[in-house]
Amino acid sequence: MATLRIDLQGGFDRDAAEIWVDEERRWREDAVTTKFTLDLAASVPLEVPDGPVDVRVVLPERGLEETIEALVAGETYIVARVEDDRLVLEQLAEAPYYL
Amino acid sequence: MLDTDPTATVDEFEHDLADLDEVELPVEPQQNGGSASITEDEATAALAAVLAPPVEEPTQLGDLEAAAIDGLGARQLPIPLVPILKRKVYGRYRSTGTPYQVELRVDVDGPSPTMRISADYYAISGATVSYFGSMRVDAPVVAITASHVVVKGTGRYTWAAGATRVKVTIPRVPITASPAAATMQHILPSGSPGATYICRYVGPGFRAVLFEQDCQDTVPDPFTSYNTGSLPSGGPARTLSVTTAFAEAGVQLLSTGASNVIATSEAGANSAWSDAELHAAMVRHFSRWRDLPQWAVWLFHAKLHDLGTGLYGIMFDQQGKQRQGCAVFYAGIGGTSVDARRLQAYTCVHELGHCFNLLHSWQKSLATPPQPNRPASPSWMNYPWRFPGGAGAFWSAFPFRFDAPELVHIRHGFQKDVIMGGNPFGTGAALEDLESWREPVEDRSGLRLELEAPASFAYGAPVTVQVKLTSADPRGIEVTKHLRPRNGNVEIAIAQPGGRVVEYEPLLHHCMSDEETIALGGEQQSYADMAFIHYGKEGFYFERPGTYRLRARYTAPDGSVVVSGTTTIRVRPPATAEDVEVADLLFGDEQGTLMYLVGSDFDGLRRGNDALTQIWSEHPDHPLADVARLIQGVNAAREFKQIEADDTVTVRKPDVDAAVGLLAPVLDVGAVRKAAGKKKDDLDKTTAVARQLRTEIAPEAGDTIQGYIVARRREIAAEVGTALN
Repeated sequence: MATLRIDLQGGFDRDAAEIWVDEERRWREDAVTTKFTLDLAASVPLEVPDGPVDVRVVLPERGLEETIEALVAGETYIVARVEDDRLVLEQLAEAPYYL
Repeated sequence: MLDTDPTATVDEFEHDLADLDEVELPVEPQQNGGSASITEDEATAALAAVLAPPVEEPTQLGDLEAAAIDGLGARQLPIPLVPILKRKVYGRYRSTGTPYQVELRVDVDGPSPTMRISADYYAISGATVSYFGSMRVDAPVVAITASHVVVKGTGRYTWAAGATRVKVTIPRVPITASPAAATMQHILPSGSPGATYICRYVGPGFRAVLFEQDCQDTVPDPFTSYNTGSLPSGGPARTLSVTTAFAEAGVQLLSTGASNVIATSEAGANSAWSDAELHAAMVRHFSRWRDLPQWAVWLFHAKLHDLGTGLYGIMFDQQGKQRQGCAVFYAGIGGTSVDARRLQAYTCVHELGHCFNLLHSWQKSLATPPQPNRPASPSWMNYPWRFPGGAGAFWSAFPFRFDAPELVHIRHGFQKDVIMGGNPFGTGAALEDLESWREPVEDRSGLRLELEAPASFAYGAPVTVQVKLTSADPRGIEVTKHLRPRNGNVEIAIAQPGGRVVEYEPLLHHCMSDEETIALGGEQQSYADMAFIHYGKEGFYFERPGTYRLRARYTAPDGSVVVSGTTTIRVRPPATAEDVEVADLLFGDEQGTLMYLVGSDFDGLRRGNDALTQIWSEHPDHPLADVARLIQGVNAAREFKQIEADDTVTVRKPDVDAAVGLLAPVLDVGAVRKAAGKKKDDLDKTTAVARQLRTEIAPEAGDTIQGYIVARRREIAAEVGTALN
């Protein structure tokens, strides 16, 4: 097993948010809001098997969702943000940090 | 607040320098048992040592005129001339007396000058001092002579000031003498003097902030300093502490002398800090904490935040009077390697930057009011991993400094926008916005300002607007002759299609005297000028198709501020594949710079010139090809001097054939020659051609380019008026 960390970054404003991994809902929270000073709303660590997985982030109340195929190996990092009314997902090679 | 105006009255605020008492900082009584041990003089001396170069270099000739030295031939007797080295004139000055005092910041002659002056005004009543308001002059006229520095300009005030024009005069003294006092003279719209303040020099820092650092008991080795030469960087090598990093920004951090070790138990059962726990720790341990706006800030070196090791630092104080405290977390940034020390320096200064109300570089548009994002700024306030090219590119480019707009905010932002405990985070972190340019409550200026533009522009076409002043006052109202942003008297705000509001910033400011005026209201009731606002310091301002709303503001010689109504223009989307191809060639920073300058041979703009050539050679019939022809045709007519790497100067003579070939489809070259041919000297030729371009509009020019030609008529006339004649 490996750790897949999904950071919900900018553009979240009291949103219900869900994270699905390979069609299984693994996380849900209401009122997800970006912390202005950090550009971070939530940091979600999930245990997943090594190898390729489909990661889907859904904002059901805004009708937004986006999927990314991530190759999980050891610590893996995905960031999600809302830009121009669409979700953008990206896999990063190194751990993002905030300050 | 008193109901009078600190700028208007003449006599009450004048003081003889001899009457001045020693200057004291308005430091509040000690709280929570800390002990402030450093004196103002000690801190000033320390900061001066930080800011001063190791050896004082002569930067001016003092009382000696350069011509006098040049005139000394080899056969002259060797007169032992010793230039009198003068102090640079910058820093913080303060007046005394009642009923008002002024803290003045002069920033025109020191390290990284932002070429501004600003001031905070305090009302003195009995034993109390109340903040009254702030003022800033953004584009002053600065004269540095052998004997004085004189700074003049029109200020923006946080209240409806009566005497908005300001003249600050500071004698230049030898470096061995104490810094001289500044005389700050306000000037009424009538031209008669308003209030005058004599302000004694306080120190080189533009702000003085009490600073306290506490440390968690599980952080054994918190940050103290980092040598920026230890790893590759984008700036000179020097040893930086938090205090010296802010000293470089012009902020004097004065240690309170108090320091606490905070027990991990205060972080609760999980030993990690929540924002609420951090706030409670600040209230408990920060010896200067009060729920008031004050120049005091707390930095806590902690171990771990609830959000985990990926959180390196946080400005947690977002309740009550905000921005008084921040924390950095050594679970993420700990260690003693040079990489760790670099990261610690960056994190500490970054968090304190938030306390000064600075937003992240890529989030400036989220401020209230918004300002342009600067994601590629190598600033303390950017994220290395978000920087274009990644963290490696950031560290290589990072000079360990704030960027220029951030420096302006820190040094000269209105007090409530910067002071800890002032406006909430993000409010006032930018300057003006479109809606904040309200009509004056009372307007007796006799002037009307209008902004006129075509209803729409083709995608990529240079956007220009006409700025027009009208007066029906038969007595005649003096107005400035040059009505353009680059002359500093007209500002234009642009609300872009996505809702972002930006103020147009020209690439260059012209140091043109605002004494060139004309009278409106008698024989001539209106005067208009054309302004190019397509490209400037923030790049292209009309980069996306859509609807833009524009508003202008004019500051008259008497200080009156006149605001236009809102004008709407539309940038049409590209209609054909060729439109897209041409636009792709035209939208580039080098092309924008060439458009602004109306051409250049500078090698750093070579790719831009290649793109322009490609436009007119591969798309000769496209309307924007004329823009490319005009830019390169005018440049071909120009004698271009270039300084080579070995400091030799090469001169490229005007290429008249190339100029005529490029300009003939755009301008009536015969008419230009005719206008210039009637005049003898170059200046007259330029004036004649500029007038012809303005009044007759080149008959060959299409709609796409007419406004651009009129807006840039002086630059065009200066080259083609002589070369083509």
